[in-house]
Amino acid sequence: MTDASLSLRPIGFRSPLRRALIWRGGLVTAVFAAPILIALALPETGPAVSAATRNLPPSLAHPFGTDALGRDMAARSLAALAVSVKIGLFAAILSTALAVVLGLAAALDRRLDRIIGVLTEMALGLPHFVLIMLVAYAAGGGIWGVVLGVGLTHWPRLARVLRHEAQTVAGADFVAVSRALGRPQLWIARHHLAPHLLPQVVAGFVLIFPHAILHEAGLSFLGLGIPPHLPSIGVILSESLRGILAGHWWVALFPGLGLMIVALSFELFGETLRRAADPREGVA
Amino acid sequence: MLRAEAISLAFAGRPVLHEVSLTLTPGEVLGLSGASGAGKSTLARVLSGALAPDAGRVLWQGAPLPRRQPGPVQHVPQAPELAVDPRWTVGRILANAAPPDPEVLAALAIRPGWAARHPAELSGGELARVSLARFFLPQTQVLICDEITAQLDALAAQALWRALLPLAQRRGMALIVISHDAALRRALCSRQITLESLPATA
Repeated sequence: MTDASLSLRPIGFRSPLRRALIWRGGLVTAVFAAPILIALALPETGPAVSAATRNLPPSLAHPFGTDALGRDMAARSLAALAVSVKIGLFAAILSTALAVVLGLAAALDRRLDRIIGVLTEMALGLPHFVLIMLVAYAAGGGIWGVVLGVGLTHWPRLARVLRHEAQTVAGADFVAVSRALGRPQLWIARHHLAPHLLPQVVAGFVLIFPHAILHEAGLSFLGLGIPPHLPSIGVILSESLRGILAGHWWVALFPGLGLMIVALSFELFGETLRRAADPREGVA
Repeated sequence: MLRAEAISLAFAGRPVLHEVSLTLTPGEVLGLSGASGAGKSTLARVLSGALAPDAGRVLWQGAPLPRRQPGPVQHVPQAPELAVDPRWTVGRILANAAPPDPEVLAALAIRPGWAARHPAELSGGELARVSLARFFLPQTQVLICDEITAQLDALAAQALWRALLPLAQRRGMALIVISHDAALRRALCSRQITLESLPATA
């Protein structure tokens, strides 16, 4: 008997859903790998300040152009995206861990459920960018300020999904049957509960990435996130405001596009994972 | 061999069962009827040991039902599509408690080719038979069939009962048939009891 606890629901070999999963998974992998590979291929002097190469439009030597300090925008943007992905990763880990713990605790204990319910309502009721700003500011800004800000504010949605899913499975007829057939609690948790929750956890994890990346850019743009000497899309966009007025469109366009592509590919992949995890979606 | 003595049970102050007693002899087919909400499925859960009554007791061969599951009394739930994990394969569902008995699979016309399929890929009648088959364990002596053919068309229902009755008989199993269908109960059962609905006063 194969261990099904890590598998999603059955997907036909040639189904559109499977194709979408492969395509979008590939896209995310490329988004992870591309900045690293391209950064390796770029000249080492790329991000260095240079008076001779100030405000150059895109060319073969500088595909994204250069900024007011003569730095290569391609190297800066890719380094910034690598930071974004890293922040997304840590924020998603923190958020998902909180969501799993709080969601399961709420599903298993009625008293905890009430407390966590109030907490969830509060977190969802406040405009969360305000909350992120407060947390990031309180944590002293920087990369970890952004990670904490995003991580501590993005668990409620997934926690709710997991709480509901765990309660549904725990009360399901098929669990009662397994119990009547002599299966112990732990076995049921492993063979019924985990396979139902795991795809939701994975999809929720991936779906936090685009939020983290966009919030990092937003915070850094406002000056609350990544300090200006580190590469960050938010810092770049904030600096580019002056450049755009001088006609230097490339300092904003390419980093902005890069941000959009990264956020969108995670969003699409996460959404496809969520659909694949949802048994109510028709088997295509 | 299975005796229920003055079973009473209330859910959140609302009485569902009030001093229900019954006796089941080996190999008997007992019909159980009653209006919706009269407590038929609740009684089935009490008799199978899944639910403890507030008062009264269930005796198996003179002793309390064995605490260890799987017990001798198995309750086949109403809706097969809710009673199987949608993420499991049919092969895994059938082997939940023990490797399935080939005699049971053959009698219920469960094809080996289904083993790799998922419940959503079976028809309602096929799924009803799969759900039923996994309760035929060596220790199963009583099968409580809770509206197991209510969702099937007449032909599929007839085929299922035609397969189930001789199979139970060969194994010396007793059946409790819960059904709203009076004609079905008359055709199958040697004896019938009716659960009265209790007034909804606490």
